[in-house]
Amino acid sequence: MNRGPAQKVVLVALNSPGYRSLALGYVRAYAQNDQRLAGKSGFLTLDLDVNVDPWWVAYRVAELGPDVVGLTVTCWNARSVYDACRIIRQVLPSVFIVLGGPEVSPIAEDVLRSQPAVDAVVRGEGEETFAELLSTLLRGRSPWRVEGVTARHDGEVVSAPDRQLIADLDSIPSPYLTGAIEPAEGTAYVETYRGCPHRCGYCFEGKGFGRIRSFSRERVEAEVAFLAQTAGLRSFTFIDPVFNLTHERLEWLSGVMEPFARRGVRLHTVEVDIERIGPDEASLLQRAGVASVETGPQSTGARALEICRRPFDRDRFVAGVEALRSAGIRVECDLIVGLPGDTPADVMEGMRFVAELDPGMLQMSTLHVLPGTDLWQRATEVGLAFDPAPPHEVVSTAEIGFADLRRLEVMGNALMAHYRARR
Amino acid sequence: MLRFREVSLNSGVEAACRRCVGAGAFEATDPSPAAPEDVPDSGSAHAGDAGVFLTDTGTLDLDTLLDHVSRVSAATGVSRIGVRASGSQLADVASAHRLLASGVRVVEVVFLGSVPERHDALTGVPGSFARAAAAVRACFDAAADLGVKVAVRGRVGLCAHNLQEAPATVMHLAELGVTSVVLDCDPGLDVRRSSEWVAAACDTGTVNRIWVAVKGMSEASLGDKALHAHDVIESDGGPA
Repeated sequence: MNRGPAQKVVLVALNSPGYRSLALGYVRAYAQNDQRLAGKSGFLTLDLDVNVDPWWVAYRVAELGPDVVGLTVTCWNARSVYDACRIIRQVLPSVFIVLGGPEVSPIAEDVLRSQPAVDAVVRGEGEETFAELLSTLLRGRSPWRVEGVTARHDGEVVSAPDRQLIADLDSIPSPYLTGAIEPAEGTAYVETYRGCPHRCGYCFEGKGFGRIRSFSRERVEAEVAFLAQTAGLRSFTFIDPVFNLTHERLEWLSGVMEPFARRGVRLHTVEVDIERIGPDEASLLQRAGVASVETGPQSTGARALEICRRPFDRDRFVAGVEALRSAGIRVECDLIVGLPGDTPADVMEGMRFVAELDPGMLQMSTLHVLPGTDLWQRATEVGLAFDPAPPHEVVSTAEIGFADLRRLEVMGNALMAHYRARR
Repeated sequence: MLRFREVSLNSGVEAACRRCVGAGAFEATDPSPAAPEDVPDSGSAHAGDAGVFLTDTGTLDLDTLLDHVSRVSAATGVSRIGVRASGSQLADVASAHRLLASGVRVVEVVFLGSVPERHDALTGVPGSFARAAAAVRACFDAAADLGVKVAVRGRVGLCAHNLQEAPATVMHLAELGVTSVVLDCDPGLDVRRSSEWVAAACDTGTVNRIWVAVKGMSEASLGDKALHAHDVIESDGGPA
């Protein structure tokens, strides 16, 4: 009689509708490939919408009878994840619940203290740490000594030392090529490197993943070729922080994507460093099938840009938008309301700048002070007040009070709605 | 922000308080409204203009209004054409459908009150409130039918006769789902007596996630609501 694996592991992601968690795909692919777990651990992934009732999430998990439940947490799904964990704990008192992801990783000890249903948090890159955690649990050992894990020990919350970042990203098996994640119908998410060349104060990317590490070109090309065979695939989404990291890399990616672009497959909202885009780069993006790009400026206020350590050259920015527009690529310009250093006049000047630039699409969002970011750490110093509960929305800044921030949000939403209303 | 060139069609204000300007204010202010080909400057848009806004359409029938839209569209090539209306031209989905199909993407409908009794009494036109509200709904329905994005703005002409109803009027517009509201303050309003009501109307918009822009009051008079002196649509010389 097949009694199933000794350790049943259920991985849960509460995603934006239609999305599948690439992060869980990596974690699962790595663990499935770990010899210590081979034949002993079985994996199942639940990719659910963030709007799903936490009681239903708990029901789905409980029906699978897991020994370990791993959930990935962002600022957007944290409340739902915590609700689901609380219910799962009541239904399955002995299950081991472990969290990971950018929302909990930098504040692991606080999370364990405030969420009694949670047993452990995996900090930083999850692949190696999660696999070792599972191996430790299989051997009946306590998890609190596993590098990169924060767990409970003798009634205390204890953090083991940080784990080094994975030096060779190719040591992580491809979640697509191993079948750890099924390509979603319509679009496929691809990551070609980790880290970011920028250190923007509001962003986790540059701080959380440190230096830039790339997957090999052969690996990326194999994934793209595999995904391109997916029935109904219409687009790729590259989650790299900067698609045009270097000109040489852009040339390579353009060549990789060109055959699929000719078949009508498009790349949507790739993030670019627009100030390094001229006619040549725009042409390469066009060749790759890029239909739209996403970029800043986030703010045009000199003080906010300085505090956030973000460069902005107005002329080069405008030139980049014009080059892309000439190539028929739609540009989404993003602005953040509530950056420290920005006055109401600065925020409105930013709105005026992007509206007059007429990039094709505007996106205004309110600052979320994310755990682990530079602004999170310097909040008091720069005069930021924010909601300590996720998604950590800014409450006020030294320059803009609570009420005016809410007004600027509403004004920004109105600008977006009016901007979109066109032939 | 989004700068629109305002073009008057000289065909009467869309709706105004007849107690302020006398009986017949809702009628044409010009006995001979402009023919499309006679409207000055309607064929030119300035560089950097996000669109063109047609105003003073009060007595125009829909066909004539569409002629104007067509001419402006062909002459300027702008991607956004706005129309300010009383609602009488657009009170049914078929009319709104024709307007949006002609290329109009911003529709501003004038309200003078939050209830029919007040609005109709001030315009002097029975049924005008119901038509204005129907026009807003018709624009959204037509946009959904056509699969286009439309911005519907409420424009509230504020005077001494409806000042205290400003918050309720903004609330009514929020319930109708408008994209933003302009409070167009009569120059004769006593700033000291009116600022409290204008402020309450602005707050009503904010808590309902609708931007309320105030025209005709300085930032200084708006006090801690000074941001509301700014609009997302600006015309030559200030908020539209």
